[in-house]
Amino acid sequence: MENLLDPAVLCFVLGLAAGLARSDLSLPRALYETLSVYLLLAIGLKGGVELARSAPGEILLPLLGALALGVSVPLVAYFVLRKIGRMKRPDSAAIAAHYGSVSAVTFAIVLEYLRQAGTPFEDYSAVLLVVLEIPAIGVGILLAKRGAAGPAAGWRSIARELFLGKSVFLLLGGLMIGVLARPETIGTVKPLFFDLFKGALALFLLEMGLVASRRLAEVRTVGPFLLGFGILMPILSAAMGIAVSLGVGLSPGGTTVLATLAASASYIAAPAAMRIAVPEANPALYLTASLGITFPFNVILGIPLYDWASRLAHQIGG
Amino acid sequence: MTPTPLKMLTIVAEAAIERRIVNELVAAGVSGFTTVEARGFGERGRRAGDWDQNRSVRIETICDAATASSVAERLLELWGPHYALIVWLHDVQVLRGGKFGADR
Repeated sequence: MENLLDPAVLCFVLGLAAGLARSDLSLPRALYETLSVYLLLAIGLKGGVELARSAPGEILLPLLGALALGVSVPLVAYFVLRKIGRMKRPDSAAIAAHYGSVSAVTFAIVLEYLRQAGTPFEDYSAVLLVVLEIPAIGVGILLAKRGAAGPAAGWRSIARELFLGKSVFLLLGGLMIGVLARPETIGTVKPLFFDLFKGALALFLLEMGLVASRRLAEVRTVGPFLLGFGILMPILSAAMGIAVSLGVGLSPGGTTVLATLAASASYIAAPAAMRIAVPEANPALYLTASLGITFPFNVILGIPLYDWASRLAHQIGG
Repeated sequence: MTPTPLKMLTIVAEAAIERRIVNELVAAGVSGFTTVEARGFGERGRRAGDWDQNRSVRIETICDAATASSVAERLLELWGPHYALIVWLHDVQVLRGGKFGADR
């Protein structure tokens, strides 16, 4: 319940309400671009600074766990979409890629949630975010192209879209800067990138609320199956995330982080890559599911739910 | 100064394929092009241009008739089926035709 009263989450709800009520509120596109660059870089930077504090040895097992999730979540999603939803192969593959990949903003929100509650989590969490971005997109492309000669655009331009796209590039870049920068100099960028982060996140979420509301209006056209998928799939993925977390020995806080990452669906890296790699998939389907259904669900209800389940799993398991 | 009759090729497309369209134009040997951001509505719904997956661009280039038609055909063949893409041609009277390869 406290999550609902967080100012950033309330800003998201305000944006949603404005969009659904057809308010003429709109943020300039330049601001959306600026904020998304800022947030991705800041998430990377913060993650890098924290990463510098952790021992290399402790990362390996969770990293492998994250990789396994990045491959298995899209496979499960694809199976559900094809067999239960009876959706076309390109659409199923593209949606599966979105659900296997992750949302950096959802990640930022879960970290803020844990910090607020005073729950500790692993210093290297941002590495898990970066590791989870890409494999699912590769799996999605392979699933879409099974039997075909290769992706429409060629692997080169897809790799370019992935690694040089702003999402992965800025997260990785920020991570490296955070690790490399001398700790005493990090203070010079702290006011902008660390102290103002939560406020900027709130502003960005206002815009995301508006974007999500427009997607939500399209839910009618995508059908009830995708609506159910958009809510049940993240819960299933979170359960897989919790199981993996217990297996690789993450703390309760770290378990909440990995469960949320598994549950989140990408809306920056995956749409850009899938539009190029699987052009025959209908963007209205994957954008509506990822942005119109799953993102609001995770932000408002999912994160507290995954946190509760993670604690419960740790109580039972240990 | 006598105007030279040439073709203007106008392309309205989703931003996802902008770079690839430009590569095609360059490969076809056009002497230049102009790109602006665009918003609108069409077969693929409202393209409000307010965030990444919703952006469109309008690219214009001036060249001879043969190049214009072959580029137009190539673009539609490559991306017509799956992307928001509209292409049209107009007859234009251009001053300093040499800038567009008319005298070459």
